[in-house]
Amino acid sequence: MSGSLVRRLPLRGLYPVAYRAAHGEEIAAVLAESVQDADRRTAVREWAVLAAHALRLRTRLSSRDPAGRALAGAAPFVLAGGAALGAVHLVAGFLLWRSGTGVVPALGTVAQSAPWVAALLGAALGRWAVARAFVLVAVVAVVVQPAGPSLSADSLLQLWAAMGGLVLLAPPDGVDLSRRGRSRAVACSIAAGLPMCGIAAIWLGLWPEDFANVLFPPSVQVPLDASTAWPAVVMAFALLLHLGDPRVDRVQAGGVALAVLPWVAMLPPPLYYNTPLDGHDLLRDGAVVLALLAAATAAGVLRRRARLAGAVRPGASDLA
Amino acid sequence: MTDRQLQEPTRLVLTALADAPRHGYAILQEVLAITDGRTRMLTGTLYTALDRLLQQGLVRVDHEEVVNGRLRRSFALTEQGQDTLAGETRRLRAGADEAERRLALGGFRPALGANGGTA
Repeated sequence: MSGSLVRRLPLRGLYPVAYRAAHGEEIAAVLAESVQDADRRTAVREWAVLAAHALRLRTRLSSRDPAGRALAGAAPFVLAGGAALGAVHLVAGFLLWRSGTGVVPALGTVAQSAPWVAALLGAALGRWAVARAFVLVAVVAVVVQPAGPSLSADSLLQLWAAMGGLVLLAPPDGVDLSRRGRSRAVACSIAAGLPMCGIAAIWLGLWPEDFANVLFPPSVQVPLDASTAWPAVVMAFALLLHLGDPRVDRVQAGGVALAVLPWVAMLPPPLYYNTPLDGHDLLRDGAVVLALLAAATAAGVLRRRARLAGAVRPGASDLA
Repeated sequence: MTDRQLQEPTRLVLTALADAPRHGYAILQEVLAITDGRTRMLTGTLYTALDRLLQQGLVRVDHEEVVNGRLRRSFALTEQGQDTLAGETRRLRAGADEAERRLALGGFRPALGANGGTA
């Protein structure tokens, strides 16, 4: 009965033509044998996982395709960045609420940021499916904004939506969930988020009533502007480490660059609420992000070459 | 190829192919046997893993045959695949040995069962 159900569901047509011609019959035969004695639920699950396999091949986002491998390399660090941003957003909202500014983070605003932190916890425990589910919740919260208009800056929401899309598109089986991979992602998130939380706390602690319109002397303004680049610096450093490691697949390592790009739309940490990002800021941030990408790529490639040369030199030991 | 820790489906597929080449459904049955019936790998999970392992050079197509008018591939481990599985096995064994050692230090006597524990 389950077999006839699965036969009625579309599957072979979902595969790309060449793959279907080469392996379509083989996969259909294995599926038919697998669901022969299976219950209805298992049969539908079998079909759903195969349909996802077919769609990933069709869109070239499977873990065997370069685009999929690049996304898989980027996903843990995109998640780390999103979680850092979520944590700072929650801290800033809490401080504004405590200071009586009238800025009260709505339920929708919390729903847009808190799931990112939960997603990072899921990934840290090696549960990538849980992490993806939380990211999906966060993205849906950005799209539908359940509790009225969000108080968060538009650029922040766009940044999160882009990041969520990257995490969800990455092929789960290609993501590095080893202890080292998970530790690196968590370390990146803490490294990016902690200083931003500190800046938000100091700023909002000093000028809570008019936090968005405070005029600072250049000695304060320049470091604050520089702080917008900090998350991109952390992600660029992660890119450098991956590109410089000869053991890591080059395409997957290069994919970490995708975790640097979204930070073009970054704001100083205390301005996550009600502050638009203007064209000048975007240009400046874009230039900074591109410069970081170029520097990290050059340094990473040189490091990889040096380590490969060290590895083939007789008697050389790998000290890095 | 990376030297990173293998994900569970990848390790199971490599283990299922360690002693002999197998076709798709035979790999699924072998995974069920290896895990004492605890893991029933889905067809989509298997082919996702096989596609990636073929791309990484850990698995190769050993031979193709026509069964009931359908072309069927049998897969085998490459030398690189054997090395990767051996490395993963050493890593898992080291972890298990360390866990047993610490349990013994804590006064626990781990029940090793019929398998006799780790080598």
